[in-house]
Amino acid sequence: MLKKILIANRGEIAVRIIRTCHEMGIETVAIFSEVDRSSPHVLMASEAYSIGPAPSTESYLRMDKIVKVAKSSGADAVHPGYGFLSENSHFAYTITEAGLTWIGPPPDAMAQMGDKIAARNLALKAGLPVIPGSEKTISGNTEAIQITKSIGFPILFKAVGGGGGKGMRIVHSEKELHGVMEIAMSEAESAFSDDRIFIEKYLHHPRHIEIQVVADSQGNCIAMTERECSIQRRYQKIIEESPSTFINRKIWRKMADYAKEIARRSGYIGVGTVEFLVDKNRSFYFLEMNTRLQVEHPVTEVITGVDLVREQIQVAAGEKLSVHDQQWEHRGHAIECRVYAEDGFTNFIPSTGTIVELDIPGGFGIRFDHGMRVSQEITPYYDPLLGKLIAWGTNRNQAIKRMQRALKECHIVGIETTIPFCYAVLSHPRFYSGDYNTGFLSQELDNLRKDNSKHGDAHLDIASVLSAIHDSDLKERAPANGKLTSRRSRWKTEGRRDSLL
Amino acid sequence: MKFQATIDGKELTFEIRKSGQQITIQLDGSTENWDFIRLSPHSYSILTRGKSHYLSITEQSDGYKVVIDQRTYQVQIKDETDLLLEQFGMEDTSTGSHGQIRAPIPGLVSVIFVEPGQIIEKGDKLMILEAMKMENEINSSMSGTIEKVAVSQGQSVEKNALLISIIMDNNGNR
Repeated sequence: MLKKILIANRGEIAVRIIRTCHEMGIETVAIFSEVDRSSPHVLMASEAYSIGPAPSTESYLRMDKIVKVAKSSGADAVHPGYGFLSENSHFAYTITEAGLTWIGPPPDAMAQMGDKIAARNLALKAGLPVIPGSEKTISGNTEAIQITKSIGFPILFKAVGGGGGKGMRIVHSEKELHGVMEIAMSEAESAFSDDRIFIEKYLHHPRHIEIQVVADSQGNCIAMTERECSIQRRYQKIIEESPSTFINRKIWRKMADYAKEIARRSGYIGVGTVEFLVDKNRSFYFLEMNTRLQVEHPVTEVITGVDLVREQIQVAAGEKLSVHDQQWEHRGHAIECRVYAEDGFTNFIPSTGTIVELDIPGGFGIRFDHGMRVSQEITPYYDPLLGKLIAWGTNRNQAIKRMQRALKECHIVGIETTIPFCYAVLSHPRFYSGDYNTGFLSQELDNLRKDNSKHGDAHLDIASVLSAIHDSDLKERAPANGKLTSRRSRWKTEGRRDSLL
Repeated sequence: MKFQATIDGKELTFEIRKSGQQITIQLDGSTENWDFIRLSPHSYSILTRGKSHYLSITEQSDGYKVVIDQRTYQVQIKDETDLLLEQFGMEDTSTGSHGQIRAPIPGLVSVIFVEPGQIIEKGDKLMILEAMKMENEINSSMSGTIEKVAVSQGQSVEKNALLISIIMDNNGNR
């Protein structure tokens, strides 16, 4: 069994992994950049080592430094979390070469799934339905036009080297094909250092539904209840739930079998996620496989009771899965809201600043995975995900109500967060009815905004003004530049009058 | 003391008297006593007729943003002095007042869509600010005419740096 694990990550996911390690009696090694010295993952780990300046290219992405710390600290394994180096097969090779255990899939499986064309071709071979498109990289205009002749517009250019919406562009007509192709290639180049792109037929507002798989080195593989992740902005998920309101057990069974088949064919070991797009007729298509622990994995954990990080660690150590397909079952419903340091009502613009107040929601059925503490500075260097709020209920209705009350309890003061935005989505009739798809946010943004500024109580209008007056007053009395201001305090003026009365 | 405020563009006038943390509010002829305390530099607790509310508050370039129960209130305040000045026409409304668009986060100005003299509407795209590996669209929070573009394409800016100044429309559209 593993004794000490280095977590090559930061923030909420590092905290989440450290927790399971400590429960398993495994020691943890945190790494941190100069701006993360007082971050929760550093405070929580058994050991912590500085690995360089704030920019991730000089710290969390430095394979050489990470391997060095792993060796010198006596760690026997490395967990990459998600993001950063988690899907970099070269990093996985490097870790293995250094004699350490890589807590992730075999590097070959990562490389195959990381190449979106190779993954697509493997899916085709495994009999999975794939979206009509090109079977190889598009090199020129003529080739692109030829493919569009057979599949028709609109089409999507996608990057071969990675996902996440980068290098992804819609083309509606032949006229704009060439221009958009160049943009897609340059975006792909800057995001993945790989300008290869391919074509897929564009599906209008599908639903995004994915299957969690876990496989061990002894040939066991399980596929768990689906997660629906259709509430997205810029192809990035913001609210997820499980089970989906859209598919039945029969469709799930098909997806689950396909997911296991592609995992088997790629020689997959560890946790992974097979993503599907589902159209309005409930036809589904393979999208891609993510070869890491997903951000939204807790949704599956709370309805199944399976700790996916624990499975990941055990499987990496060569042990058998602790559950079989017949042994796990899902109970109730779970929803996850991602708490980003962003203003959801203003183009999701990132927000930086210091957290001055932090009230963490709790109570029955609530889990909050986060990496925040009071007086922590949120810098522009890293992904703006601060944490994930997960609500469980015996049914979907109860999970929604529980999430709403937890969102109301949650106060993160000093920076903007997506909490008010998530609250508006949870309160939207279309979310409530389950009748939504990946077009939801673009269609409903104005309504969500209206809902957010809907005020039912005149007292709250005044209360808001009162706080504004008080705050502006304090600022005038203690101006930031330290100079005294001639302007008298509004409160003080009032106090003086009070004393005269 | 009499206060006038705008909440999400709607005018509201009321009177406040304060004694310790007790606040007396007069609104539409009725009087109420509230309990009001500051919890931190950005948050307050208020008890209105016993009802408990938590408020978080952020100062913005054109007023305040207050969040209560995860709903947002955009607040601009005016007190008696401001009102008086306004009544005497002291506020310079002949040429329109000046507004500023500042950088909400540090970042890199990658594209600028507007130029001086251009007439813009509230919500119009002004520029793209790259930060946290994302392209963030900066939209105008006011209608008016672009007076000056204070940054150039490719420039890195700090948080709160002036990006664009705008001569606002006279119709009070803020």
